[in-house]
Amino acid sequence: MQTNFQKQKKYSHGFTLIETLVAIFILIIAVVAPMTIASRALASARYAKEQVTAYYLAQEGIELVRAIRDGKTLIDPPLHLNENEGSQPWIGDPGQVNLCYSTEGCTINSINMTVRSCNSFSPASSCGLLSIDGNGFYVDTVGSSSGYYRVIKIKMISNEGNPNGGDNEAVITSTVTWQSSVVGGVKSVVVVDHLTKWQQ
Amino acid sequence: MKNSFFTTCIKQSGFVALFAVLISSIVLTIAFGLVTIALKEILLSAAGRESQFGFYAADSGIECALYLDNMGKFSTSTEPTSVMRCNDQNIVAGDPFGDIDFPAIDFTSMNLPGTPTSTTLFWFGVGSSAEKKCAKVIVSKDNSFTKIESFGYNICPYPTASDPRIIERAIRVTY
Repeated sequence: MQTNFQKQKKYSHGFTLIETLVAIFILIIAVVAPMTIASRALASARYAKEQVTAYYLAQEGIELVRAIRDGKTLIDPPLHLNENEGSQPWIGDPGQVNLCYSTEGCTINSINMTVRSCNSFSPASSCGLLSIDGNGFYVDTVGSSSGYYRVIKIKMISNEGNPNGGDNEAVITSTVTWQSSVVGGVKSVVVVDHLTKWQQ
Repeated sequence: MKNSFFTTCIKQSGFVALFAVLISSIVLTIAFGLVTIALKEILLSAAGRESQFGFYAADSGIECALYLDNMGKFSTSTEPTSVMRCNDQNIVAGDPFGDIDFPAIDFTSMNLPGTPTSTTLFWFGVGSSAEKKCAKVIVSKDNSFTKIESFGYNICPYPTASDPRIIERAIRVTY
């Protein structure tokens, strides 16, 4: 007659090496696969954050030019629509947004509204690099680099009905580029807005 | 008759498998939860970006209409008579793409105080042709008021409401 201990021993044999290896393999797959998915998901979330930051910066670029135009309009209302503004363009004072007319574009400081042409940067590709200042603002001065570049270009158009040849429309292009560490490569957001000389 | 210790051994034989399945399913659930959140974030950020394009298209349409109105292009007659230009292109009144069939909004409370004496509809293409953003602009006038409504789209030149990526942003100006 078997004792209780002998019965127990009979049913508590261990795993073989193959069984153990298979178990380990299955467990590794079961854990690593979801972990990889989770890590990819977190990377995607970081890319979403980058994209949101980029389009808000691009929007700010447009709004900076609008602010200059509106400020100029309030201080110095534009001449009649058909008149040539000459050296006093309706969109901003000389030495201001006209620095953005070149094909290289310009950069505008969001704190003090200083406009600098990208031609003054060496190399020109370094133009518009935004840094994060002590207050957390994105500014185009030297500091802790944010990795985002914002370049603003303005194309002036003279539409029909302007016999004196003055420009009465401006196409503002605000381009934000950044090197995405998450999805790789250079990403960009381009926002285009049209401003016209409708105030008088 | 089995004793109690033996019975316990039999009952415990599937414990490791059960535990492994349990842990795996918890980890998988967490992973899929993260994926769902991340996908939503990606969609939200992409929609936000596209929305900007639509908004500035609508804004460009408003600026163009304000300019043309100040040039006296929208008379109280039914259609503008003289040539209209914005973005260095002729603006042609009319609606070649038809109505974008978004759910109807009740604009009754936003109507002009009087009966509109003229309504002009035109499409405005933003930037160069490569950028492919546009706005549908409707200018309504009665004897003393003007209403401009601009509907900006991120996908052009043939926006259709059935495109899942399309976003419409609208701006209205009255004076």
